[in-house]
Amino acid sequence: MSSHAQRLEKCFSLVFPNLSSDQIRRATVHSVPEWDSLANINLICLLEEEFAITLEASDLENLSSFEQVLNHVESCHPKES
Amino acid sequence: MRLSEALRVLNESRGIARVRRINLVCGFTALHLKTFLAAHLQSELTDTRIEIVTGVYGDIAGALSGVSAGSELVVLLEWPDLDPRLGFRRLGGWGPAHTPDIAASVRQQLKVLIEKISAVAESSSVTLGLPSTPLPPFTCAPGWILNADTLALRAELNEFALDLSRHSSVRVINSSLVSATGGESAFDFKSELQSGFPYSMSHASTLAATIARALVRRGPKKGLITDLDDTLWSGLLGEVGLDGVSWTLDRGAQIHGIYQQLLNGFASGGTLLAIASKNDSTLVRTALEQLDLVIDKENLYPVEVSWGAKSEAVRKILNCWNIGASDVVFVDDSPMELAEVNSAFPDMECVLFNAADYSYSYELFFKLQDLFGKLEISTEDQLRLPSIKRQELVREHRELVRSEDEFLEELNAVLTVRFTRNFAEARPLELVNKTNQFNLNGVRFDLANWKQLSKDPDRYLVLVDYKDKFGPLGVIAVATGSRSAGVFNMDAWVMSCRAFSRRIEYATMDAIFSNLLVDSIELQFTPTDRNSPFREYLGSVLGRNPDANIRVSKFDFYKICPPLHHTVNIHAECVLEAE
Repeated sequence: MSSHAQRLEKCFSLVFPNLSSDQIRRATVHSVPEWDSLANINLICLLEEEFAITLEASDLENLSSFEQVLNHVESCHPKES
Repeated sequence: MRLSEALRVLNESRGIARVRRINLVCGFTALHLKTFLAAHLQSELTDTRIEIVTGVYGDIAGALSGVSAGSELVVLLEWPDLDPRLGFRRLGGWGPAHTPDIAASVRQQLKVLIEKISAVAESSSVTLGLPSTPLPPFTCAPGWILNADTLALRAELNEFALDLSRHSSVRVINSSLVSATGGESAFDFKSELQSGFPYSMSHASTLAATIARALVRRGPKKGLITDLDDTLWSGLLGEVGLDGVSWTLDRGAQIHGIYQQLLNGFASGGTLLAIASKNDSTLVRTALEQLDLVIDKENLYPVEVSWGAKSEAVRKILNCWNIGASDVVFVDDSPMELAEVNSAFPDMECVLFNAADYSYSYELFFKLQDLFGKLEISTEDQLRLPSIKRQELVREHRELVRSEDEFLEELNAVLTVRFTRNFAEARPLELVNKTNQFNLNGVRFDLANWKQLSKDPDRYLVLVDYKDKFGPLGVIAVATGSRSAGVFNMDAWVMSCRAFSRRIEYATMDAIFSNLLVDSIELQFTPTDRNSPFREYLGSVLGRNPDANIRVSKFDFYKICPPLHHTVNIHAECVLEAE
């Protein structure tokens, strides 16, 4: 797993502490009932803290799974693996 | 604290069964403030899981109406809570045409809030935060001018806070201190517009930490032990002599003068001050007699001066004061001395004095204020130092008399025992929450829980005031319990260590048996790390090591009760006879 994926998993685990590592990697807005607007705001703040990127609330509306968020983070920091 | 750290703290606390619930009332979306507040409290209270309950967005008055008695409440105001036009999320109008109406509406809303908060504070504790974000540009005046409209709003708000601060259950946090810290702006415009949360992350964390501090209410430290050379004054007395030491602006030593002034202020609030110095004792005695220091030298007691280890001097001072190391702060300019004392007393806070560093010294003064500051100064605070000094006379007197009974008889002690149901006075709760040694079970109460005790019609609060020929000690013992079927079930009982060895504990039980007319006293006893004096007393009553929860019958008590030489005055502020 890439370093970005590991760091992202840590962010997800803080917001969704009941999910296992495997569940986090397969997480989508639809598969995780706790993934609501408040969780979204916490995720945005954690991603900004962890990856020093700026996100809008609307960004996460289009990023509805762990995989999509990971792709977005990697597009912001393409060199790290 | 960062958000990731806050979430980690909260996730780790999920398994804790004991819950402390805090009602957070604010007009905005609580979001990260809720997370940070829970996390800061959680970090302080590791054996309790913190649960923050929030009300409906934008409805502070409604949320206040729904608060149940005995709650712990945090009310956090921002300008839009007083009138939505003082925020950015509503477009009700700014400018001269609107300002009179805004002012009137703020006045009206503050009136409603003061009524609601006062009503809630009758049975709950309230921590109040005033607006910590700036006003919007709602007037025509330029931003660098505080015009009459803005000043009028601030005046209304200050008057509101002043009125509430007089209520014993309300604490107003210093929001201006919060907004002055952190560097980053308190207000997050983007967050306010996008999610209705007005604070930057760093401000939310700082504000939450301040609220948590007010909620946890750690008691002030009781004593400060200070070094002399390059601490209380500038210069090494043994090197430069009396004329060489200084503490004034003209001699470049003002920081030492400010320190002395600060300590004087603490002393007048009942903080104990002592000297621990490696020095020539004759020289120090002469210096303290002859130098015109800012600090009142009468406040420095005891003065321990020798060439021995500082920790030994500190040990003697603690023995004289009869308080624990964790209640004391040691201040010295030498990191080596601080380390030596800290290694002997790991619970003692050891603080460096470094007059060469101005910003460090400036912060130190405020740090000391936070450690020793208290909201109210009681009669007992003012009696503390004189009574410790008198202990020396008492000790000498004890050595002169033939027996313990003769000694106690000659004290001419007078006990005033008050039976009351008034739990609103500050001193009893303060004594219960800060006494460790003669303490039935170590249970602490917050103000709301303490005041709730008065709701039990069978409950009594017993307050014992002591004086003898050496002077008054004030209220030195507090007990409370509930009477039922001839039993007084006592769940809190503390006595100040200054009142030990005078048989006041026996006299207290005697007063309860005689006035509440019960056949036995049940003691909700729990051994703690520090209540061995209480354990020893119970052992002497029972004739064995005490277990938890003990019942002492009147018959058994009077079999072992030693002669009591006090004159006892009983003040009954409530009906004492059983119904």
